[in-house]
Amino acid sequence: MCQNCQKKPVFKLISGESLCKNCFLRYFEKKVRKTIRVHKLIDKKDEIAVAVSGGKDSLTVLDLLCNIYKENKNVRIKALLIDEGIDGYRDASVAHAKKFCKERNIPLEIHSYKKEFGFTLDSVVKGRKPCSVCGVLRRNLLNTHARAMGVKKLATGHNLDDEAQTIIMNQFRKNVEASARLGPLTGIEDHEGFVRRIKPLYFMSEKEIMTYAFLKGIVDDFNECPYNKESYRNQVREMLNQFEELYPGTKHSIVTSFMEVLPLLKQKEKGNGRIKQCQKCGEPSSQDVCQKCIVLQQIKSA
Amino acid sequence: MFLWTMKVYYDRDKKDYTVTAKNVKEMLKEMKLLKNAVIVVVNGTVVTEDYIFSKNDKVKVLSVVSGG
Repeated sequence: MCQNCQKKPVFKLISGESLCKNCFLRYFEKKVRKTIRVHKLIDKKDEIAVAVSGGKDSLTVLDLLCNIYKENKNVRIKALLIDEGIDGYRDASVAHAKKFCKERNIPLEIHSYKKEFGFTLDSVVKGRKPCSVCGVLRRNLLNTHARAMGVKKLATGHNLDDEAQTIIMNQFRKNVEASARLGPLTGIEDHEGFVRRIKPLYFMSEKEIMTYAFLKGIVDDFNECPYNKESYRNQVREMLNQFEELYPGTKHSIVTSFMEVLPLLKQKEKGNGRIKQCQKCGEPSSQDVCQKCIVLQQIKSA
Repeated sequence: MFLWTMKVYYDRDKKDYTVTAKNVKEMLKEMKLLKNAVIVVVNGTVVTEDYIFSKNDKVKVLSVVSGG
């Protein structure tokens, strides 16, 4: 039974405590508010774009931020969606995101690879790692369009599982610089070309988010990117899920111990003068030519 | 506590499985699913791994994996 009110439980925390629907919803919202407050994710007059995919994580962030700031007219929330062109997957999630935003009267901007780059993801992935192409291009479009929308922050649905996976992937690939950019507030320092990304669900597990989204009626039918299963991330996810089963709290420990060293990593990378201007497109980049232009060149010359 | 044989719908596979189990924990073990990778819905309500099945329970298992 629920530890607080003796009602039927819907969730069992790692500590072993059980919570009923109302206590779980309160626990979840309190933890997200604390993340926003403690890590100073949102200022009093911020305009925020939420990067939505139509999935449970991003729509949960959108729903939560709209509720938290509904009385505060100075914080304005919009939604931004990138349609990569993935047949049998993206159409359904775009439709769900459109419906979700319309019902709540949230402005939604949609941009596509087809219109921006002249191709769909499906048409260029043969012989390539789809997630590597998609990640680079999607991040580029999210940043350029968030900047064009004039927002101060870009909120994403990244959660505890995503972050634990990324930390481990960066360790396995010896990519300290990429780890330094992680955290609930991404990036190392402010730069006029970059809209800083915030992750309000940083300390919430995928299971907690799914439970919350289900209880709030946010979940649509299960819809998985067809490229997901073949990704490196998916292998790390499965490994961590196995560990979590045997040693509950593993993912939480990875992220919280990482948070202790993150200030040192950011300090190490700060002031390295690594943000340049891409020689081809003028976007901010750590190299002379940005990753987006490199990927586009590879696709063009194939 | 009774052992029930029931049909369980798993959304990631988009199909029903026939499973014999007393509770959610046993059911997930039989389906070879990890409890941190799914939530279980019985008669429209989310339940924990300790839930003990009753006759005619309608059971759905929902994957928590992000779509991508």
